[in-house]
Amino acid sequence: MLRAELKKLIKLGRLPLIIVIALAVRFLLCIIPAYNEHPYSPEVYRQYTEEYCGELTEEKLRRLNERLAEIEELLGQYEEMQDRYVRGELTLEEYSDYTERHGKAAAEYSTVEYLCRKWEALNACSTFDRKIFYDTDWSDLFGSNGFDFVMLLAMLCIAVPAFDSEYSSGSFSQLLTSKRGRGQLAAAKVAAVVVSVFILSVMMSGVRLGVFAYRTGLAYSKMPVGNILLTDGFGSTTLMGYYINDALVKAIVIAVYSAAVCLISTACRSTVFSLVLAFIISVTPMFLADCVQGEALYIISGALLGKMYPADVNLSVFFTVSAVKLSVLTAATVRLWGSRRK
Amino acid sequence: MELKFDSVTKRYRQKLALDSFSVTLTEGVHALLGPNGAGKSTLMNILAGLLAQTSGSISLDGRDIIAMGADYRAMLGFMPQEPGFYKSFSAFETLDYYAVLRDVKDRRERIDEMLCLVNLQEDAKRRVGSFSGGMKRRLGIALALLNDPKILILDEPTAGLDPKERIRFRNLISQIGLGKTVILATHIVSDIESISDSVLLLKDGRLIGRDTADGLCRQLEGMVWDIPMSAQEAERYIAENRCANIVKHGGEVFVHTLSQVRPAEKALLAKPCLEDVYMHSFGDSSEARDAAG
Repeated sequence: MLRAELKKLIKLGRLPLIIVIALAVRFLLCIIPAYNEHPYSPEVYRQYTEEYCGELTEEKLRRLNERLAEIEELLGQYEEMQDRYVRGELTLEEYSDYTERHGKAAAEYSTVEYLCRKWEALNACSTFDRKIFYDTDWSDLFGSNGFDFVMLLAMLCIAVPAFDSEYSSGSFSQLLTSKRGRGQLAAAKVAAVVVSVFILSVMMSGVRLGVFAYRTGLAYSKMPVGNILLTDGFGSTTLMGYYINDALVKAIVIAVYSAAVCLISTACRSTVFSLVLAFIISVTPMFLADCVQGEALYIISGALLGKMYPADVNLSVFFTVSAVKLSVLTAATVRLWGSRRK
Repeated sequence: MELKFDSVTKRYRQKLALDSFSVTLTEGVHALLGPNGAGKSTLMNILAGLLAQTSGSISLDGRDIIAMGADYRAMLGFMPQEPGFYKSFSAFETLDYYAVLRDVKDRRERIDEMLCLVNLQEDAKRRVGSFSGGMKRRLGIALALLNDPKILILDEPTAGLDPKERIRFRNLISQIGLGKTVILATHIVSDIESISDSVLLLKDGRLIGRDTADGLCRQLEGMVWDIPMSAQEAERYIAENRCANIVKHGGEVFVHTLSQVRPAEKALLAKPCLEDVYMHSFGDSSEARDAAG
């Protein structure tokens, strides 16, 4: 049954075309240069992380704190040095040397201060192997993982016609009079949609990771993600592991959404109305992404489409809740699809 | 096999579409005859399990068809008034898809057999979207027969078919009707006159008569007349009498009419046909004229 429905989705639902277009658009969006805001200068950060890379040692921390103190001192002397130069207590050479060191200190201040704060935060963590490395690229990868409209549109294009086409083609009555045409068919339809959407979502995340790997490499992929997120919440999960987990979380969220869209299109029996309603329901979590926290994320899991999953999301609980939601939505669709008209 | 309708009633808000419909059907071709709005499609949809009746029940060999669920659907073949197909699928792919849904064993052989039966074997790989109306109807019949159903429901199966295809369809029903309960709803008399084992007359949701085609015709013996007259007189007569139509035999014009008494001195008694039954039961509506096929 599932094979027959997948075949139908491929042939009638133009699944390969949707997948190719979605992946192409995702690829284009990945290669377009993006501006990422940081609390430090990436160039200086690279320089420092290369210098201080590896384990957090007391000696490295002492050097870093000394450098911060030196920078703060240099920045704090600015007005005094200016006055001294005006009063003729400094030669031009001495003043030039100071302004040069002041400029460098000003450029490095935010970065060194950030590194010190990060060091402090890392020191408070204990569940993973704490290391300093150049993590800006990974941080950008995680930070740019915003609400994926391409995936949303692709999901709607796959899910809405799955049931809606049966009404518009007029084949609805012939299907319902078939032996397996009620429960099993509806379940197979939902399953075909959910599987397709899940696979596409994973592929989309794969494209992002592929482009990232091609551009920056995967040098630090085995580093614990806590080194970037500065929390013990993820334990020894690596950067790659976190990205893969997040890709799975998003794929599951969007798959559950696709089941909800199936239910909507079964209830609406109108392409336009189904599309509009499904779009509204699918986009709403984007606006909720920052508001939904804690346990509410299990219920309104759509909010996870707009950000990387936080440490307080227990993946086992999330997968279980998603499975329950998927079952409920499928059961409701089967019931609605198979019920006799009154 | 006994299919029993027990006081089946369907009400749409104020409109009574089916009014205490009770009948028992056994194997054979049963034609449901009535004008549009008589309740034929409502009855077909209830029988197909698509529509819930307001009251009453339908049972097959004593078991309620809704309670039977998949067991009942396994015995069912249904061709709706407007069969829908996936335009991008070929005829073979369409039947293959439905064969999976209907749990058909040896799918390929069965599909080839069905395509051959409806004479679509040459077009098996053509997209259904490019099919003519007649070809789609034939595909619909193949689809309804795919699981070798014991109960075959055909709702207005010849609508939109040309005369040649109608003849082909009649032959097909005669061929496949043996050993099955075929329920065929139509308002086209010529479709069923020669192939039906019983005719059920449905009017305003009520069963107003049931007999064989011959039996129904016999009830009108002595009531059907052919009156020879000129073309102008015939036109005038038709305008004044609802249940009448003009027929031509050997260049002569006759008014074919129904009447309890001899309508004119020169009127000749004619042999009643099912069309007369239709005219007698449902009046001279535009559909009654269509019924002549």
